[in-house]
This record gives sequence, structure tokens and C-alpha cells, in this order.
Amino acid sequence: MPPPPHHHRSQSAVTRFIRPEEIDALLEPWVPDAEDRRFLTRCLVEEGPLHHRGANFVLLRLLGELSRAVASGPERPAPGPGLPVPMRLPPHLRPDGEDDAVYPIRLPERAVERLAPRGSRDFDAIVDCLADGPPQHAVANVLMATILDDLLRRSGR
Amino acid sequence: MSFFAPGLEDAFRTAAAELGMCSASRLFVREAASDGPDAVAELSDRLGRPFPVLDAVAAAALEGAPLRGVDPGEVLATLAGLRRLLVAGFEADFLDALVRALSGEVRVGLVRTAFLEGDWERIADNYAGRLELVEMAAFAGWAGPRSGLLTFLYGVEGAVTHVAPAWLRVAGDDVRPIFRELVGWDVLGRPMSLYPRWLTEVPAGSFTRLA
Amino acid sequence: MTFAAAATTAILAATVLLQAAWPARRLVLVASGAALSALVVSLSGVSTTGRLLAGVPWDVLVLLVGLGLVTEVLVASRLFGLLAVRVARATRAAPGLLAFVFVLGMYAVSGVVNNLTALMLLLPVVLILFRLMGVSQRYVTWTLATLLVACNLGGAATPIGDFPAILLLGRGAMEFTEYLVRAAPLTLAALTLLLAAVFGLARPARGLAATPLSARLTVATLSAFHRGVRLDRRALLSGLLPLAGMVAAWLLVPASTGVGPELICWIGAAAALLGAGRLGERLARTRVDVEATLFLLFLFVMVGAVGETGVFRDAARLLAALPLPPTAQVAVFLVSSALLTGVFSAGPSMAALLPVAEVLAADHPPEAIYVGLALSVCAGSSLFLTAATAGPLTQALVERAGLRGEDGAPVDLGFFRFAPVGLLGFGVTLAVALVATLARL
Repeated sequence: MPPPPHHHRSQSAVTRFIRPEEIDALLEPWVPDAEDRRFLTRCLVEEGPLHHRGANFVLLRLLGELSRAVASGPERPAPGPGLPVPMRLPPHLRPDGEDDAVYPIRLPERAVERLAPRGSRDFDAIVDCLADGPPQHAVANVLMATILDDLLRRSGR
Repeated sequence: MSFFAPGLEDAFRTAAAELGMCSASRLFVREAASDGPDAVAELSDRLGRPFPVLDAVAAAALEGAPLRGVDPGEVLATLAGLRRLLVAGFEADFLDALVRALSGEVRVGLVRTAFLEGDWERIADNYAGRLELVEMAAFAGWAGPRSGLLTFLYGVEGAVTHVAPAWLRVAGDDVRPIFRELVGWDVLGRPMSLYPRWLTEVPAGSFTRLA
Repeated sequence: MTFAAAATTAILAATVLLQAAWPARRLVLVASGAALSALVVSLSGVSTTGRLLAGVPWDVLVLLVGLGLVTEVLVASRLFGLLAVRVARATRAAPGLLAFVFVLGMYAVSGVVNNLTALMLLLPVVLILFRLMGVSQRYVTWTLATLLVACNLGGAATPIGDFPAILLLGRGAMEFTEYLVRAAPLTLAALTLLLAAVFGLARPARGLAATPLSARLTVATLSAFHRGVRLDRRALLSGLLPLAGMVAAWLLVPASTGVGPELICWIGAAAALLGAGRLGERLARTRVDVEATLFLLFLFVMVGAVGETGVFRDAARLLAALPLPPTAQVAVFLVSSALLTGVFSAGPSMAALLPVAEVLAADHPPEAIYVGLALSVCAGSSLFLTAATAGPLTQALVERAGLRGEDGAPVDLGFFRFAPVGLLGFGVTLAVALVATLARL
């Protein structure tokens, strides 16, 4: 019998199934630095509202399962520079330098190009939708888009 | 006959405002110890309850534990790879040792917020330009994937520890995901035995690294 | 007395009293007073705004601003904080000796920088020492009140020490060396008498429960506050060298060259700021004492308006008409100057009394009259806590420091606590002024 609506689980119930090391493993192909992966893992499943942490873990785990089930396909091309995922700061407080105030994961342009031509307004809007927002959303969106793009590539698309 | 003049509490509060609770305690205990254990005991009797950090430092001295120099080795390891380090809360002995040991490429900032206000300009002057004072309104400008926040812990007891309230002003839920590391450096090395006046309890697990 | 004379005098008196009673509004009050004064003289045809502004001693303002900026360069060198640590170590934080040394130090420093700056340099570290040492109300009262009197004496010792002396220098009433040679020994004599009375008889540290360990803690803590502070040699040299050059130029460059003391100060200040690099630009933008400069500007306008109506000429004639020997007239003038200063404070009093002194100086040795006036104004500055801006500022800083006495009660420096020491300082300084001046007539 499904739980009644608005039945809230305890904190320990929500976080008990989260295993950060599995997220770390998912990130590894795209984020080679271990400390960067640790930071991103924290943003995905150890910060923010509990239900977002749990949801991120579940969705990314399922994508991870799918990734293991799909054939490896042709050799993965070298990743392009990718698009930055900025931290949410007031504009006047953004530190100087391109590498500052962005998360150590990039959104592959190819993923977005499947839906809109590069340089178009739709392309920009899609990037905004994916990379904007609190990190538990933005980083999760970018990682999912990255994994999905890779899955499509491996399936010949 | 007392070892100390009547205004001892005001004197300690003045020292703590500009040196930090633990560093001020170390200084007072060290000077008192030169006059023997009775002086340390009197210091602890008079100031232990209002300043539990001093009580802990004095207790360690009375147990025979010497007041050692500060070794930043353990905390340095937690800061590896960082280019910017922002400190909330202040402990002179510990920050002095850390700043000396850090590479010159690491920018070090100190958030200007404290429950006991000292002379911030004089505090910063002790670091020959290595320490930048950062206003509360602007500290988020130090965020980044190679940035860390650091504060001082006053004893870790199981799952909890105590920090200066400055940490809570800074390390909110919105700030945690924009700094790579949130580091707690235990400066006391033992839990306090008295009610932790001046300090706030936080979960030890809220830090990404402990030293 | 004409309407314009009565009105401008009333405006000046009322404004000065109001700004003393309501210091939070002082700038607005004097600005309004100056505007009213200009209106009165313009409407009555006695003068014009242009003439009033032309009559403002701009050279005095240049001297004040310039010396203030050179001081700021020296402050940026961290010299004074480091000196305070040395003093604490050398005296081993012994309360009596510490107080004595700081009083001497205040006298010396205020001979070079204006009184407010001297106070802001020394008082914060003095108050920190008080918090570390533990003090009593008696100790704080005697030490800080004596500091204030010493500050006034130091300001009167040199032509650049404070506004009244700067006004004399700026107006060309006296040459730099002439003033220094005559005034410094007299202020030193007054200081010696003061020190003898305070530390020989009153003994501020009497009854303080100091212990060797507390003294060591005081020194150790203050040293720890400055553990890594280093002297900024560039700022120090940028301040000291131009200052030395200025003093040399004031001593050696004759007025006949057309290079006046204000121009020397201007060049020296510019050199100090240039030498300090980016710090100099930052200080020039942020550390000019605009409040004090504007206050004096408006004060000069009001005094100028009163002067244009002839009130000072009439006052001098009144004085000369007194049925007293000339010596006694001078004595009356000096005592009145001191008492007026106690009520109206040094700035307005000096500005208003100098024209009267100029008339007296026509019949008596001028240097005796001017130095006597400077010392009488100095005496008056010490009479009440409110007689100089330094007094209320000290009162506010003591309150903010949150000092407590040995019984745990808050320690303060209020009007009535200051009064006995102020009266002592007033009496000693005025006595020296009278004896020295009358002996020269």
C-alpha cells in the first residue's frame, strides 16, 4: 500500500539510502580531480533540502545503471571546453577570473546542440535553464545532461 | 593575597577581543604559570566560569600538559589545492602559524565579524599584508571551486563541537555549496568542562574537514 | 553700539554657546550662524559676503589641513602604537610611572600635531592599557584630566601645536622662532608645576591594587596586540622628512622672500603625500578633517562679521579706558581671555581676541602680548571639560571603553570629575602667563 499523501519520512530515512561514493564514481569520467568530485558530490547529495538530495541520488543512480547496461559504443571523443555552471553570487561579488565562482563540471555543448543550434536563442535559453539555480539543481541537471548525451552517443545517435 | 589586580575579567575580555579566546587564554595561563600553579588555579577560579575556554586551557596546564607552540601541519593538509581561504572567527596563535606556513599564492581573508570587537586594523597589521579584512556583505565574493572557509573549534566531543558565532553568520545553507571546503580546526584539543558561554554548538559533521 | 554690531556679536555668542551645548549639531549651527552674520552685515551695508570671505585667514586653514595630513602619514607608519608598547615595557606597566610618561608624551606630541590628533593618537592605547591594568576612578580622573591639560600646554608650546598658535603664525603676528623661543619654556614651566602638583601631591596611582603578575600580563598582552606590526619605514620617512624640512624652512626662510609659513606647509604636505605613494592619495581623499576645517571657516566668517562692525576696536578702547595702569589692563585682558576661553573654547576666543591683542600690542611689547594671549587661551582651554573639543571627545571615548573601577562601578570622566584638575591646570597656566607677560612689560 503506498504511503498516504504528505506523509513525511524522517531525515534518517531519506538519507539512509544515499551513498556518496556511487555519485563519485558516476562523476569520474567527466571530473578527473578527486577533490572536485568530492565537492560536487557534496553539492548533489549532502547539501540543500533532503528531498532534493534523495531525488538527485535516485535519478543519477538510475542513469548510472542505464549507462552500465548500454554498450560502450565508439570511443568517447575528447570533451570540448564545455559551458560553465556558475555559482549563484550577486554580480558585484563575482570574483575575477574565468575559473572563479563556477562549479568544477562543464555542460557539454553537444548535449544542448541536440536540441537547438549553437548560437541560437534557444541554445542560450536551454543552457540557462540547465545551469541556473541552486547547486543541487544546476549540478544535477548538468551531470544528467552529460550522462544522457553520452548514452545517446553510445547508442549511435 | 591575590596574584591578580581586581580588573582581571576586563583585562581578559580585552585580550580575547583581539587575540581570540584560546590564544588569550594561552597567554594568561603562560604568564600565570611563571608564578606557579597557585596563580594558574586562581586564574581558573576567577575566570573559568565566565570564560570556559580559559578554564579548559588552565585545566590542561594544571594537569601538567605544557603549552606547546602551534603546529599547522594537520590543517594545512585539509587546505591543499585551495587558492583562497576565508577565516571566520579569530585565534591569533593559530592563524599566525597557519599564515606563516601557507604558500604566498593562497589569498587569506578574515571576515570582520565578532562578538568581542577588537581593533580590526591592528589585527590585520600583524600580518604584513597577508591577511585581508573582508566585510560581511562581501564575503561571498571569496567563493569558488578552489575556495575554503575555516573556523576554529573549541573541543570536539563526539558528534558536536563549539564555534564562535561568527561561523554561523557566514556558513549558512546558501554559502555551504559555494566553497569547496568548510574546515574546522580544533584549537583546544579537549572538550570544555563548563557551560560554553560565548560559543555555539554545531554538528562536527557540518564540516567537510576537521583538523 | 550699532544694530549690526549688537546682532553679529549676539549671533557669535549664541552660536558658540549652542554648539558647545549641542555638539552633535555643531557644524550645522556654526554654518547657520555664519550665514546669518553675513546676512546682517550685508543688509546693514557694513560689509559684503565677498569681503568676509576675503578676510578669512585661509593661510591658517592651509596650515591646519597640511599639518593634519602630514600627521596622518606618520600615523600610517604605526609609529605611535609601537612606541606605546615600548613605553609599557619600559615602565613595566607601573600605573604611576605610566601616567607620568604618557603626560610627558602627550605634551611632546601635541607640540607637533594639533590637540585633537594628539588625543586620537594616544588615548586609544592609553584606554586599552587601563582596561588591561585595572584602574580606579581616582586614577582615571587624575591621569586623563592631566593628559588633557598637558595636551593644551603642548599645543601652546610651538607655533604649529594647535589652532591659537597657528593663527598667530598665520597672521604674521609672530615669527616661528620668536614664538617657539618665548612660549615653549613657559609651557614647560607650567607643565613642571602641574606634574609636581599631580604626581607629587595628588599621586593618581595611590591606592591602586596593582600586582607584578597583572603588570606582566598588561605588557605581554599589549605586546601580543602588536606582535607582527612593523614600522612602515616609507610612511615614516615620508612624514618625518617633510616635517623636518618644514620646521627648518619656518626657522630659516625670511618672510621677505614672499614664502609664508602656509606655503611652506603646503609644499611639505604635498611632499609627504607624494612620498607616501598610493597611501598619500588615499589619505588626501579620506583623511582631511573636513569637519574641523569647515567649523573654523564658519567661525572666521562670524568673527570677521563682528570685526567689520568695529566691536573689537571698541573693546580694545574700552580696555584702554579702564582706570587702571597699563600693566593692570593687560592683566585684565589676559584673565578675561582665559575666562572667555573657558566658556567659548579656544578657537572662537582666539579668533575674537586677537584683534584686541593687536591693539594692545601697539602700546606694549607685541611678543609679550601675543604669547600671553596664547597662554591665557591655553589656560582657559583647561578650565572646563567643555572648553576644548578634546574634552568631550575624551569623555565619549572613556564611556565607550567601558572601564570599571576596582569596585566594579563604571568609570567616567564627566564635567565635575574633571573640574578640580581643570582648575589646577587653569590656575597654573594662567599664573605663568601673567607672571611672564607682566614681567616683560
